[in-house]
Amino acid sequence: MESNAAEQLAAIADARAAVADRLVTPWWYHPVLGLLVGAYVVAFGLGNSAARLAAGVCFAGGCVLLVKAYRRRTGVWVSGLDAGRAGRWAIAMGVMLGIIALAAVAVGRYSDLRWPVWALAAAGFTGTVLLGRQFDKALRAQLRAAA
Amino acid sequence: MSEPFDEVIHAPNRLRICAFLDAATSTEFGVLRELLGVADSVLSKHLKVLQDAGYVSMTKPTGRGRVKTWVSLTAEGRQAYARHVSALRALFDSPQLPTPSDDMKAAG
Repeated sequence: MESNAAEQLAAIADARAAVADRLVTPWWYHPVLGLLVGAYVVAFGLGNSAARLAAGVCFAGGCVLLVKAYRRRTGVWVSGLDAGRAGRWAIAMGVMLGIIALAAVAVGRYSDLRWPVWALAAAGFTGTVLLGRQFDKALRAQLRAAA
Repeated sequence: MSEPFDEVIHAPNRLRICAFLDAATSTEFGVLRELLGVADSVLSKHLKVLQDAGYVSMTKPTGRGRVKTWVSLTAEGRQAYARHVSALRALFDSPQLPTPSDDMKAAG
């Protein structure tokens, strides 16, 4: 009985490890996502209402295409909301994007300077790449850690 | 008191399917077939059992190219799988607990 349970728990661990093996993010995934974030931030900070709306639509559309490409390549999709503890990195990315977008709007509205918006876009790009890779790493470690 | 075993999930291939699906949001049919190393018909049969129990949902996104089937655990499926894993862990920690096979032997 005990060995049967042990075998089944081992089979579960193997299946979870197989998911981790599958989740090999293409090298371009996070840089492309970072570019989408950067473009969104620039449009938000320097554009008018129409540009902001267009940027929002392009950002959402770009994210959908990116997810489709990832799913087609790996055959698996793990949403940040289904990622357990590793999902904290995805939440951190969302919070970062919100803060940077608001800061870009504030700079565009209360200042004539343009460089801070470009700096925020660069920070968005870098943060997206770093947090995205950290999410992947945490998720794979979590899947391999325990059944 | 330990969680009950789930007869639908208990079969080895279905347990592996559920373990894989629980770790992901959605999975392509071919990936599951590769995981189990079985024919399409065998996998379809197992998925049908899980689908009839309300544990998995299957979608075929429309679009250009070959249509692929994507499989996900439902909320009910995730709960049932979590209960089953708890029961396995309890059995592993306390081997004197009865398994479903013991129950069947006792009934027979």
